[in-house]
Amino acid sequence: MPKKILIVDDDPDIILFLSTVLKDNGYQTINAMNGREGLEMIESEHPDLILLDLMMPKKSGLSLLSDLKRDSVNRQIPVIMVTGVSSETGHDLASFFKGNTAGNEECKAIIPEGYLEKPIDPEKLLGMVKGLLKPD
Amino acid sequence: MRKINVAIIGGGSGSLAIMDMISRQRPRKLQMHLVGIADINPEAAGIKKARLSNIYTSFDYHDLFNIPKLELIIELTGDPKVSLTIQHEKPDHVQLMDHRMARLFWDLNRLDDEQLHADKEIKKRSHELRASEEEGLRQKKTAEGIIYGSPIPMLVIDKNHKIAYWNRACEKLTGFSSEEMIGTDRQWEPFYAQKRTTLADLLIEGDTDTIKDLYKDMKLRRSAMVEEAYEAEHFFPHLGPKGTHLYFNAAPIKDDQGNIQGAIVTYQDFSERVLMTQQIKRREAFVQNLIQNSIDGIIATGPKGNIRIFNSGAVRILGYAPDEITGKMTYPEILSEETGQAIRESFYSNKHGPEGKIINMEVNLLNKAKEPIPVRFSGTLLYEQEKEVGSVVFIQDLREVHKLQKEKELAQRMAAIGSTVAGVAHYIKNILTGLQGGAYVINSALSKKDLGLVLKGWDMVERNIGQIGAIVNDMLTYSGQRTPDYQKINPNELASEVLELMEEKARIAGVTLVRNLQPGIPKVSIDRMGIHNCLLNLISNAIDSCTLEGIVKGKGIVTVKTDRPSDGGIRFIISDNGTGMDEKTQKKLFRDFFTTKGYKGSGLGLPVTKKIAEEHGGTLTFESTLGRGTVFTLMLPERYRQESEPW
Repeated sequence: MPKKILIVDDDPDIILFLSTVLKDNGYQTINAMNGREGLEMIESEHPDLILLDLMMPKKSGLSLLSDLKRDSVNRQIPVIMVTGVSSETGHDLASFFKGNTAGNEECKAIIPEGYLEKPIDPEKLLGMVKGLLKPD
Repeated sequence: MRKINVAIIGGGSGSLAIMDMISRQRPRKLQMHLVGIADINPEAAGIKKARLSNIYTSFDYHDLFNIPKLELIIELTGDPKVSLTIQHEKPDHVQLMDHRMARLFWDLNRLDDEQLHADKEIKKRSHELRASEEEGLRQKKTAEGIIYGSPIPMLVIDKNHKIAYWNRACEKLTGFSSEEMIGTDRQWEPFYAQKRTTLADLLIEGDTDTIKDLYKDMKLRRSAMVEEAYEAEHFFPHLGPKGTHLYFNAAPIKDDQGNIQGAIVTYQDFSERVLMTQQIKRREAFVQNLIQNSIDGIIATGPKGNIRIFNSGAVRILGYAPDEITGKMTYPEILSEETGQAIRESFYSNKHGPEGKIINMEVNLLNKAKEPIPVRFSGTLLYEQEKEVGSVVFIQDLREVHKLQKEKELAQRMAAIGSTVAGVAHYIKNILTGLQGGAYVINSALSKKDLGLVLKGWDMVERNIGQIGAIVNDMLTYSGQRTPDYQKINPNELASEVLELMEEKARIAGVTLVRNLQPGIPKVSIDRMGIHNCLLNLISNAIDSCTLEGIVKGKGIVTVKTDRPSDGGIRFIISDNGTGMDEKTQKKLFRDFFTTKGYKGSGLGLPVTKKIAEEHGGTLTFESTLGRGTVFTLMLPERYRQESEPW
């Protein structure tokens, strides 16, 4: 059985790009256009890995991640956060998380398993996905 | 006083002596009065003289006996027989004085005269002598007093080269007391390291050749005031703690026979003056330096308006060389008539600063090529005893100031461009992701020969190219100055067109679009492309604000309303029930490249929209409450066709 990967992004272009990269490398992909849809898909489809956009309408990526990591069953699903560098904050995602979770046990739990910055390098994406998906 | 009438017989030389004696007799109790003279010789000296004096004369002495009130006859014939005859013939009341008696009388009289004269002479002489002695003593004392008490250092040496006077000021100057110096020949000691002949010594010797030789390096010159005196000046390093600059004057002292009896030397200490002169020179050099090297132009004029100072700053600003302007030119030659008038007015009023001064007046001066140079002009009139004697003005080249201002503006624009580049780079990076993704998808599709996927990938590339086109357009719109391309357009139709374009985005975001377009609005004259962009930006923003997680409760609604204000024109109102904005965000809203959408916004949408509105002479305003939503109003005024514009 090919591994099932959920792509959550409000940009159809990004969905098409990511799904093409993953499908070409033998993964099965499913898509959601916003955080709420994404959460529903996790419940119904049980993906093996999630590619999650940070900024989306109707429940942001951060909100979805927070819900997911509090779920006793689904918290095991590895998440790769996909984002660009905010022109407003100037922080990259890694430091964003470290900054927000420092000294907070509960917050530490909602750190994603990986980060990817746009523009996305397909090789890097595949390497990270492969690393996070343990063989059965 | 009794008068005795006297007659003389015999007109020889004796008669002249007696006549002389009678005429010169001094006032006495008995006064002789000559009433006649007789001689057989009518040419006798006495007869001649009597005639000249209108005194009675006769050749016969008997005639004399008839002169009334005759009292005395003086016989001067020298003949005893004649004397005897007269004795017998004369009237009884007349006395006779014969020639021997007369001679005695004359001698006595002369002695008396001489005695008197001698007495007088002695008296006079003794008085004179006393006076001169007193005067001499007094003069001597006065001279000593003057010399000793004089504030001018002074010394006198006698003809034996010994010091005769050494006054108090000299004591003070040299530090040698008069007690130790007077009577010695140590006059050289305070001034020189080794014993040598001084100017005073040489004057006493009359050795002018040695004087000239020995004092040639001390600015020796003959005194203009005192004959045979010399003046010289020199710095004496051994005199005083730091040495002393002395001016000295040596003059010979001569007695009334013209013999040299000594020499007097006076000194003037001008060390302080030398120091002051040096100080003044230094200060002058400093001021000159300051004037010359001032960045500002400095121009000073004399009483007739002649330019006296024209520093290098002024040269730089106005282009004249200093030697072609100083002393030769006046203000009217570097000012236009009206500028000159304005400057005069300001000087004599309190227009720019108080009367007599000008502070920071901006005027144009004429440079050498007669071009107007903008300057900031400050100055003051100079007065001497309330009389105007000139002026000093400072001019600052405003071309430089203007240049600096431009440079500053450029620097600010460069900084703005810097932040622009950073903002745009993030946005473009996002587009690049799309393009890269599209290229990847096409490659993948081609290898699988999946035509449908090729088209999807191509769509993606096209959309992102479209986005690059849009942002480039926005940037050009924002940075350039352009006039709207006016066309007659139905605003409701334009609004509907944009709403249709936004349908898909609203559907994905779960936002409801509400149309509230006032029917019957006539065509208005607007830039179709520009306003299309504005509406797209505003509606797209409104949808985005309804989709931000956590703040928006319930379903997002975006309403687009059109209406026509009473004073004409057209109004588009775009409202949402989205996140709204806090004050901080509101303040930054129209600032270049500010975005709340991270890498998904260029930050150019609202600034561009506002600019397009303003190009139409319209406005873009908003009201926003955090958590409740925002209303944007795009207001475009009625535009009346101008003659030159075709519809």
